[in-house]
Amino acid sequence: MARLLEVRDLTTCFHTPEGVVHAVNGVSFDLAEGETLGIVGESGSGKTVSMLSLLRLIPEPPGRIVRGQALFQGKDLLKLDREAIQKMRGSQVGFVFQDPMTSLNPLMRIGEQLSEPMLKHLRLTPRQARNRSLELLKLVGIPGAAHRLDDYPHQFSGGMRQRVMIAMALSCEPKILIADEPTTALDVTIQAQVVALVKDLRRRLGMAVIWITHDLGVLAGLAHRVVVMYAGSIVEQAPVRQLYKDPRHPYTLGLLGALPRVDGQHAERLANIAGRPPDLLKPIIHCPFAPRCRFAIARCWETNPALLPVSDAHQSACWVLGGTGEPFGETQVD
Amino acid sequence: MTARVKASGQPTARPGLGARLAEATTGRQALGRLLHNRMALLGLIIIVVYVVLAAFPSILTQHDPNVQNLARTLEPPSAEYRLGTDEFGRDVLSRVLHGARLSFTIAGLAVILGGLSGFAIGLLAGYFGGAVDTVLMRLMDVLLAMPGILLAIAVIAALGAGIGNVIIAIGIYNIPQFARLTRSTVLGVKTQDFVLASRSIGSSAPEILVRHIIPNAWGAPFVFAMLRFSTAILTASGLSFLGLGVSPPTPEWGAMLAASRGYMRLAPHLVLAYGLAISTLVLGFNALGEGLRDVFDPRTAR
Amino acid sequence: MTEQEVLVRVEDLIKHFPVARDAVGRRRPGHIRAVDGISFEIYRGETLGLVGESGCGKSTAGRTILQLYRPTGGRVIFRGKDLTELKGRELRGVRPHMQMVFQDPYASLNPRMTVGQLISEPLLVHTRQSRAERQRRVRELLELVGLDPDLDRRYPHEFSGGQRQRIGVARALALNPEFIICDEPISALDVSVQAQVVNLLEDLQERFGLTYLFIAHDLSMVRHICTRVAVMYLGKLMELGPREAVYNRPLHPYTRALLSAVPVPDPDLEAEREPALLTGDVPSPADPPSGCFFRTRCSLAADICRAEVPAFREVRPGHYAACHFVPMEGW
Repeated sequence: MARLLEVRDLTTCFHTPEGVVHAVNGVSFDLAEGETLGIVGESGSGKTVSMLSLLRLIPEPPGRIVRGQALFQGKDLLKLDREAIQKMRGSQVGFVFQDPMTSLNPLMRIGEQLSEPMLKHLRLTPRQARNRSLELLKLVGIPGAAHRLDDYPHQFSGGMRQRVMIAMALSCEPKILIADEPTTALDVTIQAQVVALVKDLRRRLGMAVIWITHDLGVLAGLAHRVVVMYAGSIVEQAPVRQLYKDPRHPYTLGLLGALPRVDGQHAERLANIAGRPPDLLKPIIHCPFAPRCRFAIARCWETNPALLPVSDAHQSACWVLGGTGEPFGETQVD
Repeated sequence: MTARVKASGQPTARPGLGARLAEATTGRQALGRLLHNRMALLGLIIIVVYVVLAAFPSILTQHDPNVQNLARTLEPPSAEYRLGTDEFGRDVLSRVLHGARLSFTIAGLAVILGGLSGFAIGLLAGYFGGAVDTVLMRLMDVLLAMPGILLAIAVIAALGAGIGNVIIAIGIYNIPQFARLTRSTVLGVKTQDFVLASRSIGSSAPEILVRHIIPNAWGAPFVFAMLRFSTAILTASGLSFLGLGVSPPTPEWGAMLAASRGYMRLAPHLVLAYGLAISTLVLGFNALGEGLRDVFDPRTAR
Repeated sequence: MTEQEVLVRVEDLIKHFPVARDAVGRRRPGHIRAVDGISFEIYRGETLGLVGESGCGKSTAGRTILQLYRPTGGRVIFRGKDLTELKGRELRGVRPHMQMVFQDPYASLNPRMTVGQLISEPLLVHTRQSRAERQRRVRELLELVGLDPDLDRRYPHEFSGGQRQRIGVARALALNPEFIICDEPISALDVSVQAQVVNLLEDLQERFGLTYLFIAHDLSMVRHICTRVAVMYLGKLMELGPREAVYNRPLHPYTRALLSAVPVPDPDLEAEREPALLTGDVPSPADPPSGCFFRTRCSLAADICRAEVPAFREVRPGHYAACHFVPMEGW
């Protein structure tokens, strides 16, 4: 698969009255054409901020992209001028946000909201845009689409609104769809519908998808590759099977252990990740996970491990479980 | 700990209204933010200056506000009379400062009277709802149906003129405004989960009102009180201007402004002095009120 | 399941809310049938899970059981008394024995009270303990839920979501209750923090023999923590049974659809799995369908489902379902 997006050393911080918050610290990853990349992490792990930084959607100030590169079709997104990046948003990269209830303007009809980006980016006539809006609503599976173009957002249920949001993100046929916790606010039944929809659309339209979530459960059946973020850094990335079968970072291990399973293959007790994420106000020299890590050794407190290969496509930032050592089960730990 | 929640920009869970209210919780933080708010600081300075001068007029002038010197009427500002003299040769500066005293007293007592009654009514109507709400709020609607100054005039007409009655008149016409605001605030607080949580442990209505509703509902009415303070000063002056408030020779801004109208051509400094005295203090209270609103409402802060 | 002591008995509990008022304040006809006649028992020492999609009435059911909302009909028997008949002082007298942990750890703690004040509030209401006694109890409770007892002077906003939920738990425990309703206590928390809170709830249950009604929409977590599970849809119970039975051999098509929608954190299983997607949305509880409430989204729906409300009956010992097709299909 051809490389579509190449992010290198992305670093973003926020200047707050309390000091500088190091929200994203040197994040690098690739996205292939047609690939679904899952990004998983707790609140505050920098998963959303890094994605917003790519499109320069973070408020500046207080936010600032300190350094990094994001090559998309040979252009560095972080260096484009305002007009060019605006063109990029919506037309090349579509964004779906977490809360479908607040992401739509309550005073605008659904059809108008859908048409807006197409009028702007594709220079369609209002009539063309309306026809295309109708197609999009059909595409995302809204029943009776023709009658619903003139409805207002409050006439749609949560799941239906998230479909509208997806339709809007797809309106200009973007190369990348970034979905930020698109199903967190929805019921499982609706989540299953949205996941099925995105999988189907990806197959049909051939776009790449970045799915941000805090729930490893959703990603298992959705993502090709998963990136795990902690305290503003990537601590592990791997193809989906390897990440679930052979996790090489204690944090990933903890996230998987904390997840109960509906199929009953559950432990008597859920794994606890004790403690809480570090204060991002202070620069951290040791491994950011060390204070919560049951595997931590002296070395973890001295140097922050870099993201190093475990195998071909699998990388982990851990002195104990990472590297090319034995898989977790055989590691000697005390 | 605070730093993590706030500074990382993403609290560990979705913050509700409770969290936003909490932002302004601690007194020291609120004070700090108040001092950083230029508007509020300006208002505070103006008010403090007025209060100090009203309390100790001798800082600026030794003249008695009521002593007439008919030999020196309508004089422009000079070294002896810093703001000149009025039509009876009284020291304008002294009268302005003593007028401030009176204005503070009238407006203060009227706002306290109206504010506390209105707060209590709004609290009961909002918390208990139902018939209590309907009866109390319809009553408030009756009061609101009349324009404020007319209502005050009607009260004065019934009770007669005089400082005490002016206070009552302005106080009464403030009641419905505070009641409405308090009621809507209480309606918002009442539905918060922590009120339900307190009910679930068996707290009685008075316990809930005192522990949960009042501490979370007084902010908006308090800020409103600052804004009403300036209106009360204007209304008091207005009543006196119309001859319904305080009677001469008591130095009251409105009454003095009314009297000096006749000498606008001859001695414009009179109108200017009284007018500016009123508007500066009103400006001060408005600025403080607006500033406080920002401080108490974290959504508009910063 | 035999010979277990019943702690709470809910009989035909109904809670209807008026739809809205018109401009003159008159109530419009029609009601939102949030809870529409549910009956079940909660045994001492167990955790009963109450699951369903948002808007199914599960939270309202919890609040109505605790009499935070007064029911439109039905009875709740607890400690030999019908709670629905108690008022004022009598009802407040029962409250120490039944407590609640709320969903939103931000909204359920008064932001202007310190942690110490919050946890001692129930003591203030129900006991005549001295300040020192209360303070000692607060420290004890903070320690019990895994927080530093020296933090009792802090305000809630200085704590993370998980820590706040611990404060909520400490508060609920203050009066040594027998029965705690956990209303989606973890749904606002991060996954790793969810595990912490759930482990705490399990530890406390073991230690104090607590009985939980665990209201949740996360079916995986319910399977983990509950002994029995009740499934709610549009204000009615669709299925109720022991955990293993409900998860492994669900009787009701709705339960099966719900379970199939839950993703499993295993890429291999997910690759094979074809979730049976529910189509459409939940109908409005102000205007539910005739007959079986689930029929509009049910793959098995037939004429009888339109005509008749299926009875909630015991299909296997201790395992109930409300579906016309249950026994015939032989699940």
